[in-house]
Amino acid sequence: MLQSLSGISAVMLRRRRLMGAACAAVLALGMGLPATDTFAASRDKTIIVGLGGAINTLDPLRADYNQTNTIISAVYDTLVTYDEAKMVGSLATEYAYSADAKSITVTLRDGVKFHDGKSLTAKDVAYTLDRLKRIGTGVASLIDGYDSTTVKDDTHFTINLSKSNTLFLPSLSKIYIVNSALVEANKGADEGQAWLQGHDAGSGPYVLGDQSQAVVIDLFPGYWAPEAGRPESIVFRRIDESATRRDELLAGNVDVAFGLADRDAAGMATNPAVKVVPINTSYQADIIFNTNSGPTADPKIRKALRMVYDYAGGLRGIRGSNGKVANGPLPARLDCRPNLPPVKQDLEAAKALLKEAGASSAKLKMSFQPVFELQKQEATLFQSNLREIGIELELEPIAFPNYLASLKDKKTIPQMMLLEDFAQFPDAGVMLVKGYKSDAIGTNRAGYSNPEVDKLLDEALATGDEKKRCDLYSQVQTILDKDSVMIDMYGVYKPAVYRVGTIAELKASMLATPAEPADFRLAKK
Amino acid sequence: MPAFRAYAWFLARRLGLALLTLWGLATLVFLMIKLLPGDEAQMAAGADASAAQIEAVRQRLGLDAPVIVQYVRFLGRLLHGDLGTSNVTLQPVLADLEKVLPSTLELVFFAMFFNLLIAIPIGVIAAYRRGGVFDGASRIGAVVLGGMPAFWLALVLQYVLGSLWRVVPISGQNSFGNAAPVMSGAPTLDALLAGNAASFVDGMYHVLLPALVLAALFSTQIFRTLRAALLGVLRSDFIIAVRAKGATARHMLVRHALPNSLNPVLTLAGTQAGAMIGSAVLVETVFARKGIGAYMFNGVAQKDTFAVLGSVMFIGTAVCLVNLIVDILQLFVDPRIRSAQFGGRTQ
Repeated sequence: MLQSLSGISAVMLRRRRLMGAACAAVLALGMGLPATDTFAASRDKTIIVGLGGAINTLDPLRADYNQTNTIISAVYDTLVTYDEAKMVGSLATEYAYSADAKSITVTLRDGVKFHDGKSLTAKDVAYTLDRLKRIGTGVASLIDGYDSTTVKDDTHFTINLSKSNTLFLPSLSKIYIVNSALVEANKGADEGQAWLQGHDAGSGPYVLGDQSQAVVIDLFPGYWAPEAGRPESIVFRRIDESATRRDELLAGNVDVAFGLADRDAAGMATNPAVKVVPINTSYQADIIFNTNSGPTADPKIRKALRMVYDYAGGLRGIRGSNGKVANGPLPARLDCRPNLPPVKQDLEAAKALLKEAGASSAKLKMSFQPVFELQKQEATLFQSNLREIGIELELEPIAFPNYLASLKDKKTIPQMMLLEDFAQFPDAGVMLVKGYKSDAIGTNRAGYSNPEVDKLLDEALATGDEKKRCDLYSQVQTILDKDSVMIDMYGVYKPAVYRVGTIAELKASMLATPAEPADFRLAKK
Repeated sequence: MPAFRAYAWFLARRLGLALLTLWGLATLVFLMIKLLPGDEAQMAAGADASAAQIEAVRQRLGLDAPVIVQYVRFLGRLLHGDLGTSNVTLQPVLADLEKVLPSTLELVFFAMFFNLLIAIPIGVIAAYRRGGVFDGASRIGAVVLGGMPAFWLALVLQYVLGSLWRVVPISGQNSFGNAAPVMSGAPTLDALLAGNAASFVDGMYHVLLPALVLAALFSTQIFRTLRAALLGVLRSDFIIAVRAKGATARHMLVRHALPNSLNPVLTLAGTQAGAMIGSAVLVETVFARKGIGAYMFNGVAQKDTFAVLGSVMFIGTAVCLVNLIVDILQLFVDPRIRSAQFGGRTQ
């Protein structure tokens, strides 16, 4: 009784002391014991990348997800690839369209091995394309019109198309070839999609490693195109907050950070420990008009609205000069572009043109995605620019899934939509055909319909002559510009930052934006 | 025997109520997902998919059936413990949850630990020294802390303690090369299972700040509830009797006043456990931790119906279970509730 009244008994005291001693022992052990190394390579041979967004799957079928594509571009190979905007062979050493562009004959590189040691043959290419056709999701949209593959021998095959399509070869730069035997053995009920979510069936310079805490890829010693200086391991850490990525980079826990907010990148510009690289790929900020219905169906109104936006002010004030004012509907880094003059702000001319179109006091509506802070600011800037000439602009926030659903019907397409768009691969044709052909329902974001443009694009799809095709694309862009299908605001550079002394340089990629991990080279040899 | 029947009837009623709540939750979330803008088939097929490809995916995922049929199918699967398959990861949602859940539970466990560790002593001292400087300061502190958005607090503390002073890690769950082999998915538990003390300390070091941030908002509620309950108890006659018998202030508070004030705290902590799982999303995002919050956030953004439904159903089940356990615990610790529930039958 006396003990309990005094609060703590001797037994309790002993217990507390024991607990304290146990905690101290654990801490002491923790400080003294060596760590378990779950990574194959040492820290100085490893590059840690900080990126935002979910890595949903590592199935090469979903290379349309940016995060997936960035990682698997180093784990798998494609038949063709791009050197800047020029298509070059990768697994394919030779390739050519038939005269009617309905088939492609390909010669495959000899001696390429998958990560399990099996040789990569024409059968694997056929299996990859057939699997994509059967599943019909992700990058399958890029090979629409694929019919079959005729395998002649291990290194020679012909891809047969159901219609002429000169966009097919460029599309193959996003089709990663899988190990058919391995995927077939783990096919399950879903064509191996669940298995490929976390397993590797590639032949690229890196193999998929540990994925418990982050996604790790390790150097594949048997790669057919070895390069000196590649990191032994690359770790991809998902860090959604830009400020957190910045802080981890400055603390040295991350070597390269992608997708940083402009303000975070600008804050590091003078820091000698890091290098800020404005990654110039194919991103372009646009305001796309509904050219089919509503007030923006009138080309005069569209032309007037193009002269309202403060291009220079927006680029400087909102984008921190990370970009360049656009001069045409397609991003400046693509080939086959006509030399169009950039549109300039001219409020008086815009006002006169609107008066001529009988829309001096029009009430307009523009959709934008509020999750993107800079786009929100650009929408507000346009609203205030329009107010200067007496036009009211209502801003309507929209979620991307909702926007995609609205594209199914030309009448439900937003009157104006502020977007940042990019090319899946650096070919002018893919953006023009998907974006402006009248039968491209769901991807024709302007609801645009012009028989002349359709004819030119059909011609381009059927011609194997590269120069002629380029000329046709240029003609289409000139028409689109004349028709004022969009306010092409500016090409957008996405800042990436790396720690000096970790990688030698950061090279922008047009295929796996912002950069391909396979291009990383250690600064210290 | 009558006592056993009374307890069994009480348990059956509570379980029935929990099942009804879960059914209501499942129905509500299913309808909300269906009402959200966007096309599930298009999101699964990809932004550039053709109309034919989208339709093929719609059929494959069973999204071509009327919504009511989809709902009945969903409930049927749910009865068999199948939460469906994610449209994005193509894995059973249960398998996806198994990967992310342990990490969230670890965070919530430590957050609850800090929540009680901080709020209870402060609440006791504040109530005992009612009207004093400590009481005033802690009440102001609770109001200020309770009004802070978790996201903001996380970013500020991360910057000051992690980036500026470097006393805690900025983000992540383990330092480079320090992770123990994955067994459970919770880094500290995995380290313990592997007998890796260094990894355990590293995991604790990484969970410390996220758990404190998550605990901060909830501990203000516990503090206020406990203080109010204690003030009532401290005015009771039996407390005067205990003091008259010569008990020290500490003994009176710890042995007599606190146990009689813990009922509302227990109830609140039970509901907080579920709310913490839901609130973890913000903390997990800022501190780049794996978890159900981030999984659910992606599910909503990508209109991944079953991922969202599965996550919500899990959180709902957890809340119902915790509440049930709290109800049962209260029956045992508080004779007043026992009496109110069963009258004289179990006395």
